[in-house]
Amino acid sequence: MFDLFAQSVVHLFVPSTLAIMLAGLLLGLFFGALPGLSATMAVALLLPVTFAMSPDVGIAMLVAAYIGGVSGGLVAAALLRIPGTPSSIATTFDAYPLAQKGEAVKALSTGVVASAVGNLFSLAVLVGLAPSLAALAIRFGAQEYASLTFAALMLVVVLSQADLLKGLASAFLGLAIATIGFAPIGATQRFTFGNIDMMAGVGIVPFMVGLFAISQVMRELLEPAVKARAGFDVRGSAVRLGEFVANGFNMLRSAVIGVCIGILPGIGGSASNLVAYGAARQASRTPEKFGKGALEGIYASETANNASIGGALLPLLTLGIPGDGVTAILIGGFTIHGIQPGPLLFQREAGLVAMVYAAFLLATIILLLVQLWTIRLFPRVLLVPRHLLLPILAMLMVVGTYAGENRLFDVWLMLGFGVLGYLFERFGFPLAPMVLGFVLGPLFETNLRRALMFANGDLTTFFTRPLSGGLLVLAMVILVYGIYSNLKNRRSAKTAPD
Amino acid sequence: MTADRWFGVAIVLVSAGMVAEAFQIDVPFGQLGDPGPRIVPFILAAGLAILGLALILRRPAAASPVSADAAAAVEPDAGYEFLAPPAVPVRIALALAFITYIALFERIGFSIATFAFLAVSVFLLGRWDLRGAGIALAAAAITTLAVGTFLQRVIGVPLPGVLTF
Repeated sequence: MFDLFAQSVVHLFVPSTLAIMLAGLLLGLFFGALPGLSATMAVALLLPVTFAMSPDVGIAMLVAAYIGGVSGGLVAAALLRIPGTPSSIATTFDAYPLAQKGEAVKALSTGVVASAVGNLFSLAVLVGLAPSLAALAIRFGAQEYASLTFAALMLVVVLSQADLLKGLASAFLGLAIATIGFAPIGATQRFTFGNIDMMAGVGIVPFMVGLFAISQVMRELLEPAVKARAGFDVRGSAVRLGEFVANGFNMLRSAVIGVCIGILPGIGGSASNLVAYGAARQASRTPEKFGKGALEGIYASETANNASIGGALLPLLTLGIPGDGVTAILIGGFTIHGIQPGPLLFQREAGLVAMVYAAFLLATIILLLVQLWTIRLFPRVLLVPRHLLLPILAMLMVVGTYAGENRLFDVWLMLGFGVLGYLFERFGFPLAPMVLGFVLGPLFETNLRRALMFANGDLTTFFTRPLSGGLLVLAMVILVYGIYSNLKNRRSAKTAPD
Repeated sequence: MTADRWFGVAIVLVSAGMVAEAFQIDVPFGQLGDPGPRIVPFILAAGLAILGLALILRRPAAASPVSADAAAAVEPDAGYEFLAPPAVPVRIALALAFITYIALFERIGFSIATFAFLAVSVFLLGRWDLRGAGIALAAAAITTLAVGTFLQRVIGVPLPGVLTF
């Protein structure tokens, strides 16, 4: 694998590919930095663009946009006290006070360096653990896969921290949307209403662009939008080696937290930064400095949120199970190039896996250089006028969705999913379970039916195989826990004083 | 009726539609033990019906004590402020412009449709004076040509009616 990895780095290290990766990275950074926009939206918008590229270059671009999107949240967190993405919530606690003390450069550069450390640590974990996990997963039969997808869905529903009923409804709707078109076994038409366009099913591009991008533009037009106050001052000193070394253990702990939480479906960077921040504060000798510009807090938050990227890629590459919206779109990036993520990827397309690692490494290095080089300049993106940005984004969504299959029908679908996404978020229905349901639906159905065929229709086959049974028990425990904590939350909300 | 109950009703209707349509699915002669292509739609429809009914029947959650006015939540020393959304007639005009853009995209081609959509929407969201109109026209022309050239010449995406640099 290390030979392939080195070859992939060389393969990607050509000006045209580096330029494409840089473009993806900058778009990700831009979307991550602007409050309201997100890494998910950046990757969703870029997905159709990769149709025309070779698989390795297209996926390298998407990985670069993902890393840029998670890292970009730092800018708004430090300068506006508003997280550009949920992954940077804890960064606001200390980066903004530090910037207000005239040390904006230190706040930003600390975050940039910590992000790079988080990326590199999680890449090392990914490279180290992925082959073992893939080797284990290759022994999975249809029963285990059906149970695993079910457990992953339950985990997303419960961990999305929303109302359990709404989370489940969202997941079921995602699964239902995935049944439109030809059935995965036997190619029987379902829910096509005799419409030729419906026969191909719902594409991942209109679904994702609609849910995440169109809905966001609608939100910007229907609800109060955030605008940066002009004239923020980006100055101060840079990171010192002593500070970096002193935070070595803090970064290591935060990176471990980031990777572990990143592996879990549904939460990723949005929770890891808060958990790592809490752990850093608890372990600190000077916890009273937290919230007032403590560098430890910035190191912890930014290391953890970036480390969750490698964690999220682990189940994606080894099991074919995405953990959140971005990795679900990355699955779309693989499938539009005819590649199926999962354990067999390591045997059939080992070069492509190595290429993902190489893209991760190169994107991290480019990101570090770009962010440090433009540390005083890049924050100006926060001042981009919305009256120019929103129409251009809407146009790119239409063009990108149309370009995927050259079908206007997909653009109308995108618009419909945009309205659905907006209404769902507006009324507290989480989108992550719907996305996971949509992506995992065909995998679940295929394996459910295969398992029943192997067992001559005997449903106990899911419980009598130890791993499958264990996963189903895990799914049930997660569901029962979700019901319990939901009832508890509703009860405490009812008894809370107004 | 609360929003949750409306959603519950909509979900129950979707579930009923799924059941009705699932009966129309052809069931080919399959392998022994294969439950066929109807099984998953039926399971999902049953699940959706239960969830929809639960949303309809459960007691609405207590209203959030947080003020609906987001602007009130901004602390004075924060580096941002909230902008009010555009007025209702502007939103309607923008929605119509977007729908018209999609409808005309294939018929009149990328460049003309995109230029018209961008010019109208940038103007509607920006300043309503001669300068605003100039900015909208310039932004629309530059963006249309730049995106068209990039898609057509650089990455080779085929689109109808593209004018390039």
